[in-house]
Amino acid sequence: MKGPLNGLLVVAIEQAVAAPMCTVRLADAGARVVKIERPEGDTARHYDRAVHGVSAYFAWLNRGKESAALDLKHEGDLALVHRLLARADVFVQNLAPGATVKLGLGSADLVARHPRLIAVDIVGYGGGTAYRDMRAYDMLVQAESGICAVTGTPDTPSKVGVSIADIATGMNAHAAVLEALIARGVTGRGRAIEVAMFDGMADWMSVPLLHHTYAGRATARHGLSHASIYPYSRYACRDGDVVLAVQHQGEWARFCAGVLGSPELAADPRFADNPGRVENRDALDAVIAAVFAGFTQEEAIARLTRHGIAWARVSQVADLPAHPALRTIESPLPGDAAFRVPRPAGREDFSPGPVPALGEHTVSIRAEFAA
Amino acid sequence: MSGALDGILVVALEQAVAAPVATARLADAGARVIKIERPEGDFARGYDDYVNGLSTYFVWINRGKESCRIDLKRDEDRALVEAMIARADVFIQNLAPGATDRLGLGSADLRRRYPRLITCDISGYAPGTPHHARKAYDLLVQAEVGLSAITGDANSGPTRVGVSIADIATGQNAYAAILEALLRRGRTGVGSSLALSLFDTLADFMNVPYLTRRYGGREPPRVGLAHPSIAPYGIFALRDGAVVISIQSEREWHSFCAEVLGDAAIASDPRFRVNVERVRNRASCDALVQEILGQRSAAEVAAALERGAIAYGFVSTVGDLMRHPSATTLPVATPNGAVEVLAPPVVVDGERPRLKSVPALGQHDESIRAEFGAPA
Repeated sequence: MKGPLNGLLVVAIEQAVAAPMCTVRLADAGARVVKIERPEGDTARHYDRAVHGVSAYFAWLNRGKESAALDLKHEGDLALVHRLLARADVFVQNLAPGATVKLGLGSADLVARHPRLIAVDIVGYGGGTAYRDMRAYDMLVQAESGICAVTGTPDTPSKVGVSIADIATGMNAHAAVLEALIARGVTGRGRAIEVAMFDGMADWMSVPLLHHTYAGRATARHGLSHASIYPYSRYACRDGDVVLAVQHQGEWARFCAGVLGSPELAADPRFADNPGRVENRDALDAVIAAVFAGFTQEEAIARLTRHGIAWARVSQVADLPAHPALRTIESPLPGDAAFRVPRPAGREDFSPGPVPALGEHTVSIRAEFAA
Repeated sequence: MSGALDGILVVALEQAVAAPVATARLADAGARVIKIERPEGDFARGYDDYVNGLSTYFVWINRGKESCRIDLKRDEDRALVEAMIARADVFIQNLAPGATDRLGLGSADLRRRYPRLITCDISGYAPGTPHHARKAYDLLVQAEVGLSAITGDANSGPTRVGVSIADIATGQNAYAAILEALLRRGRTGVGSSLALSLFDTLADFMNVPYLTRRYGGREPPRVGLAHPSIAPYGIFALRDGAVVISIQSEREWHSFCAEVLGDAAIASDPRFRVNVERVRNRASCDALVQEILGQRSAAEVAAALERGAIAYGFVSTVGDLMRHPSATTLPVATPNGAVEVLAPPVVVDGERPRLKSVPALGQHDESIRAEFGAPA
C-alpha cells in the first residue's frame, strides 16, 4: 500500500530522540525524510552499540531516512540546506534554543519565505516562558513537570524508565505536522509550529494537577499500586507475582466470592465501596496477600480469568521479546544486517526502510539539490 | 483561526481515557465530535467530583464534544447511531473487545457499508494476539509490557508510572493515525480501518530497553533518578526542595565545582577528576555534593547553576507545577463554571487554541435526535 505521505519532502536538522521520533513516523507514512547530521553524526549514533553495532536509540528512530552529513558553518552547506528547504513540505529541528535563528533558519523567517512550508521547532520549554533558555534533557523535564513526584514509592520519587518527555514530544510534533498538512490542503498555507517538551509532560500531568488545584488533594506515590482505585496492586503468589484490578462493585463481589472464596468479605463495611477500600488498603492487602500466598501464579491467573477480574504479570524486559502480545517487524540496518523491533502502533502489513549509515546519502543529495 | 478539521464529523462510542483523548484532540482541531454515552453517562464522569463537582478526567478530555445519551439495547437508538455513522467521517470506539460486532457496528461491517468511513478500534491487546479478549486497564498493561520493571529505584520493586500513560499515549497514537487516514482518504477517496492497542503503544516506547536486552543481552536496572554511567547525575536535597543535575562533560564538572560547590579544588581531587573516576567513586562524590548543596537554598543553587551553564531541573511537586513559570493554562467552560486546564502542547503560528466547553450529560440529546432522527 502506498503511504499517505508519498511525495512529501521532510528536511530535519535533528538529534537525539524527540525530533527523530516525529520524522520516523513521517517516513513510515511514506514521506521522504532527509536527515541532516553534523559531520560526526547525530549524538544518538554514539550512545551505545547494542543492535549489531548500531545504538538502540538510533536503530529505533531513524529507519527510512536519508542521511546527509553537512557542516552548517560552511556557507556552501548552509546554501544547500536553503535549496532543500525551497522544495520541502516540512522542516523539523531540535537544536539548542536560538541556534536555527542564528543560522538564518528560524521557523518564522522560513515560513515567511516559503509560505507553504510547515516549520516545526522542538524546544524544551515554551519560547514565551521564563524557562526558554534552560537546557532540557529528558530527565530534567520529567523532574520539572512533576511526573517524578507522582512516580515511585512513598519515600522516593522516580523517573519513568523510558525517555517519556522526548517520546511524548515527538508524538505531539508528528500529529501537529499531520494536522498542518490537512490545513494546508484547504488553505494552501503552511505554519510555524512550536512543540515544547515541558508542555507535553504538563498535559499528561493534567489529572494530578486538577486534583491539586481544585480539590487540594495530593497524588501520592504508591509503587506499583493505584493511588485512588483499590484493590489495584501486585500480590505475591508461591512462584511469582500477579497484578490485579477491581474497578467496580460487580467486580468486587465476584472477586470476594470467586477468587478469595469469601463472599462475606464483600459486605465488610470497611471495604463496602471504593473509597472505603482505598482508606483501608492495608487491612485489605493483608486479607488478599494471605489468600494469594497459597496460589501458584498459574492458579491465580486461572481464578481471576474465570471470574472476569483483570490481571497482569509483571514482565521483566527479558520477558518482553517472547510476550504473546508482542508484534515485531524486521528493520534493515546498514550493510546486510537487520533487527526486529516492536511494530509501530496502528500499522499493519508494514515493512520499513533501512536505517542509514552516517552520510550515506550526502553525495546523492548534493547532486540532486546542486546550485 | 479556523480549525484544520472544520466540517469533519466524528462519532465516538467511547469511555474512560484512551478514545476520549483522541477525540478531544480532534475536537480541538475543529472536528465536530458526537460523544455517545450510555444513559448513566461515561463512567469517567463518576471517577471523582474534584473540579467544581465534575471529574478531573472528564473535564480534561471531553471539551468541545456534543453529548448524546443512547441506549444501545433499543432498536430505535441503534438506528439513530447508524444514521450518524452514515454521515460521519470517523467512527471511534473503545468498548470491550467484540461489543461493537455484537451491536452490528463492527468496523469491518461499517467499512463495507461506508467505504469512505475511517473506523478506529482501541483495545488493550491487539486483535489477533492471544490476550485480545482480556481486560486491560492502564496499570495492568504498564506491568505486562515491562515498563514497571524499569521504573522505580533499586530498592523500590517495579513501579507504576504515576499517570495513565498507556491510555493517554494510545489516545495520542489514535489521533495521529486518524489524521494520517484523513490525508490518505484525501488522495484515494477511501477510508481505513484502524486498530490500536495499549500494549502496542507501550511496546513501542519500550524499544530502547527491549533492543538493549534483545541484542545487547543486558536487563536494564531501575535507577530511580540516577544514571548508570554518569556522575554526578540525579537528585540532591536542598535546604528547601531538591534539584536534579546532570554533569555531561569535564568542562561542566570544573565549572560546577567552582561556581556551584564554591571550591574549584574539588575538580582536581584524584577521585573525581574524570567521569570514569567519579562513577567509580560515586558514593563519595554524591556525598560531597550533597553535603554542600544541602546547606543551600533553591534560589542560590539555581543562580549558581545558571552562572556555570550546568543543566538542571527542580523536582517539582504537583503544587510546584501549578505555579511553574513554564506551565500554560487555558480556560474551559463546564456545566459548573469555567475551569483552568493545562494547554494542549502545540503552539501554531504563535497562538494557543481557544478551548471549547465540556458538555453536561445528554446536553445535545434533543438537537442530535432532531438532526439524525427519522422524519416525524
